[in-house]
Amino acid sequence: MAKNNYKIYIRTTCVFLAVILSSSSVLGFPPDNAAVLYLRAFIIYEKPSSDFNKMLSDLRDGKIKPNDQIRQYFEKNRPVIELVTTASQIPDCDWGRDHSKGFDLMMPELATVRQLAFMLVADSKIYLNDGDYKTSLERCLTIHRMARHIGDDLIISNLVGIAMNGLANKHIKIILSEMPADVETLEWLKNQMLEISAKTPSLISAILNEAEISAREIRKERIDEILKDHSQEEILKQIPKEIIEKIRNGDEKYFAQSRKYYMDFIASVQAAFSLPYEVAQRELNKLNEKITKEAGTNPAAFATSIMSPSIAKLCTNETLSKTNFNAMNAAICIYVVKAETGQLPDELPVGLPKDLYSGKDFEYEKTDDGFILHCQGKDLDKDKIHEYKFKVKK
Amino acid sequence: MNKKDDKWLDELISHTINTEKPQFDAEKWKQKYPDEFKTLLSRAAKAPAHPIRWTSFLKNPIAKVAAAAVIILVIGFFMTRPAPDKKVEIVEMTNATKSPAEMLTLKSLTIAYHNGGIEAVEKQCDKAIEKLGLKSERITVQELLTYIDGV
Repeated sequence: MAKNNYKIYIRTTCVFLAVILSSSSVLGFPPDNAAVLYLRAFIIYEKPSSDFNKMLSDLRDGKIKPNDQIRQYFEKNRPVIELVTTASQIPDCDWGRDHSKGFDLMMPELATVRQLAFMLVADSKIYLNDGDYKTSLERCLTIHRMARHIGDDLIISNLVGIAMNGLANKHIKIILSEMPADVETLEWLKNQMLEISAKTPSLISAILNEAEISAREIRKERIDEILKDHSQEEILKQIPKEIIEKIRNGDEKYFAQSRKYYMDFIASVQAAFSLPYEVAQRELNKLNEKITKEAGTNPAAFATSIMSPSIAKLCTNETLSKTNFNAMNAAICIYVVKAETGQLPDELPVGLPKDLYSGKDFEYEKTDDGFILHCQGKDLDKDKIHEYKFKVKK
Repeated sequence: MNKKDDKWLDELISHTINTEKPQFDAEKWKQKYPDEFKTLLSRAAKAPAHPIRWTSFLKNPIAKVAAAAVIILVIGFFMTRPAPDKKVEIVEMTNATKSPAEMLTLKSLTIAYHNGGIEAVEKQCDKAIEKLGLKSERITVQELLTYIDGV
């Protein structure tokens, strides 16, 4: 009897705990998926009129100071910014992109997330104007976090993420040039930026995800559409008519060969991405030349030539973005030294993040109004050596 | 733009607006719009009997210098103007016919990237947003009650 009572007691306790835990997860906030909050923010976001949008654009560019109309607009949209800020801090973000749609997959979130990023920059400018540097910086960090959520899937979304990182870094640089020396805020910024840069989306993962979609598109039912595609005219012009006919009339064996050719190409790309920048560029350019050449003689190379974007250029984009982050992180360390000692260091402190074009430290130069970090390696796409100028408030 | 591009654009435009090349039939027009035809004739009658004679005008040395200056200015204007980017032009033409959803597909954005890099992708996103015209629709409790009442 006592044993039975004991069992009932345990069962009741378990049921009670299960009910409590399940109800807390239902009512819990924030949700596990950041996209839910971004979508809520999109719904309540009040789009500015085109005239007012111009005003916001001028505010972002530093051409005007925040006025009453701008402040009122941001007061009304405060819940949007709160939702976006909370969303950006959630680790996971699933946009529900349907990869089975192939190239017809829709990504409307790219456009709307960019709009929200512009809004955050304008809000950051208001706080900068009011001397609240930490909140101003926080808005830019939110953009960085959003970029991670948007860019972790396909090549295009990765590029949009890179562009958003660029936007955030540009404005962090402006804030750093205007804020007074404040070790605590700078240390906080340094830690936040290190965490964000460690989690930037990887381009090669995006390439591999997109390769899966592309490989599924290499099939008989899609070939007529690909051959009619005006955007591929340049490539199609270089392929002899008899090869085009072979492709058009290709059987299942031909499409299996084409898919294998494509996946082998992607494997070579993946291997090249693990190499240092200069060597990777050489390898990727060689691969590109090989495909272009073979597309004219080998029908199996056709799909790869159509579906492979300019990978060498993409690799440069990613190197630039990561080097921008490294320059920003190195600069913040220099600002910390300035805040602690009252003056800029004479030499670059040891152990700072590196220029990824060369794999070496940045070259450091003190100037009248701040300092410059020079890359030592060349951007082979733009044929240019990048440099980053930072100003220091006197 | 070469002839091939022209042909492609023609096809695109005709697909978009679904019209054939307009052809002007003067006789039909005369019959259909007799009043307008009369007005045109009366205007022609009012035209100066002695049109400006350019050969005698250009005998004046000042006029010669002025004409030369105008020609140089016109040539200079067209030479210094940058030629429009053909690829961007094509992308913009294509976008004009697309819905925001179509503009934001993987295919459409990838084509934009091929044609103009990340700037073109960003521009396409902005255009789509412009077309979408996002606007929050706030609903009041009163409106909600009205809907519930089934009015």
